[in-house]
Amino acid sequence: MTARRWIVFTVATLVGGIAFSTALGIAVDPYGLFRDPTGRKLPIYVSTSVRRAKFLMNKRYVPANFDGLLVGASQSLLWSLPNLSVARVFNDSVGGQNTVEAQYYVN
Amino acid sequence: MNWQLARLISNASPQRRKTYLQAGLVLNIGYLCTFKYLNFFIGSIPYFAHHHILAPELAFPLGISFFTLAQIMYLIDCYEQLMPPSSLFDHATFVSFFPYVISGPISRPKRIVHQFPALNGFAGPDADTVARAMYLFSMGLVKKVVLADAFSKAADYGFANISSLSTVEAWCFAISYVFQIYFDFSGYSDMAIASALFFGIDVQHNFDAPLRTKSIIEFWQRWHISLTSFITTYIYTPILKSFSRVTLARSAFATLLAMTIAGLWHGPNWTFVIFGAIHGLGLATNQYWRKKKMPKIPILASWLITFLVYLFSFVFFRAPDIHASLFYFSRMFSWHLSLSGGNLAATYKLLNGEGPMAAILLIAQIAGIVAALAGKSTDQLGRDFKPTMLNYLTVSACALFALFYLNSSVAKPFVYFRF
Repeated sequence: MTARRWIVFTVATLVGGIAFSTALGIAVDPYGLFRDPTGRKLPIYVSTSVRRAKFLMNKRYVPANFDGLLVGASQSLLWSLPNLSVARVFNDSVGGQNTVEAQYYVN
Repeated sequence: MNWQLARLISNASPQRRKTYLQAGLVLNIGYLCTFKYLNFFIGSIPYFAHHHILAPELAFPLGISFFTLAQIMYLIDCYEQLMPPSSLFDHATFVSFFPYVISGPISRPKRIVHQFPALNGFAGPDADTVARAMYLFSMGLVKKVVLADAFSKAADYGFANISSLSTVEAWCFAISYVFQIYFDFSGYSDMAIASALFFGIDVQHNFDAPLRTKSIIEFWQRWHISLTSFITTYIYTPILKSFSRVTLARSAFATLLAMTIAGLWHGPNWTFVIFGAIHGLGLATNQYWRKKKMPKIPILASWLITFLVYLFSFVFFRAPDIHASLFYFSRMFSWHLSLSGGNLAATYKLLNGEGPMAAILLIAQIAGIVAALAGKSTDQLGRDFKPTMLNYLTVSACALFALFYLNSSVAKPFVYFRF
């Protein structure tokens, strides 16, 4: 194989892999970003960054499915909010969260 | 300023040349010390520390530790007439060339600057060089994103929970840090070398399977090679030359002093000074052992002794202060040998979840240990590189695996970025 051909194959494979990964991400849509998330139930995977997950979920998923937010640090992180019957409240707490970060989520 | 000083050095009389060089060294080292060491030195004087007299806390200019060394090398190489002063553009390019300006490899000007004129009217590197650069870059990316970050999760957890570590855990987390820093820094170096290759610039390699070495001398010939080269040429040799007669004791003193300075170069903390001093003592002992033709140590034992020396030194390197490092050692050498593994289990459970991610982390760590102790170095792989189907599959797999790993994990900054 010539070097030029090798580069073409490798770049094509990488571009194909990235395109596949992107398409898969849009199809699965784990944070409810790409289509109407009303009525969906999305888990927060502990294997990913909880910060990133909650930040992205706040873009469309949380406004569409919840009435309120619980903002705080690790103290409120483990509160079980589904037991609240009066309102649908999303637990936006993240360990070590401060007011500046909380404002990002709320906004 | 450095460019102008280099021109003055090359045109001046011998006595003047030395004065210009000394002025250049004082200015560069003073510049580095102002940003990096001023408060460290002031705070180390009991009177000032007691009265909390400190200079304003200045932020580090990006890559100051590395570009200061580049400037010093440039001045000395011009003084030694190893190279003529270059044009202002070439000098600026050499000092600020993005692949190595932040964290090295520390490149000698006589190796780099002469490559720049070839870039004028340059149509780009040939396909073989680009293919080799892609190969090196994908290797570096996997080292950093997959291997180093897998070890860092364990090491970070261990060093954040020293008080609860059992003896076994303290050893495991310290060993994790050794592998983390190796894959982190060598991965960065591979990517830096590959990035330079994309421009057709050949930068010195920085690592050559150092965790397999069987002596501290050999370790420094294979670990951060560009720093070793700098220490030898620009610190150790001048110290040695300053003696009227070279003896083994004086050579040992020069080694200890040079390595301690190199340790301090890493950052304004006594832990780095101790890190350097441990390696200085190790190197001096190693030199003495060789010169006096002491009995040979079996290969496995010599590997183990070497490993332990740099393992202990890296505990100082990783810990935030001396107190924390001594506390860590107290866990490693506890009188009450504790074998519990609760923290090890927590590392996999809490940070990565159970199931697939824990398995991926463990597989990455095992693969890392095998690669570091039994595999070829990236430099060797890069030199042997041919555009074959196997290498095509390797690069594609490495790059895609790194991409998926980047997407499912929190990326950690490079360890050497803080220097």
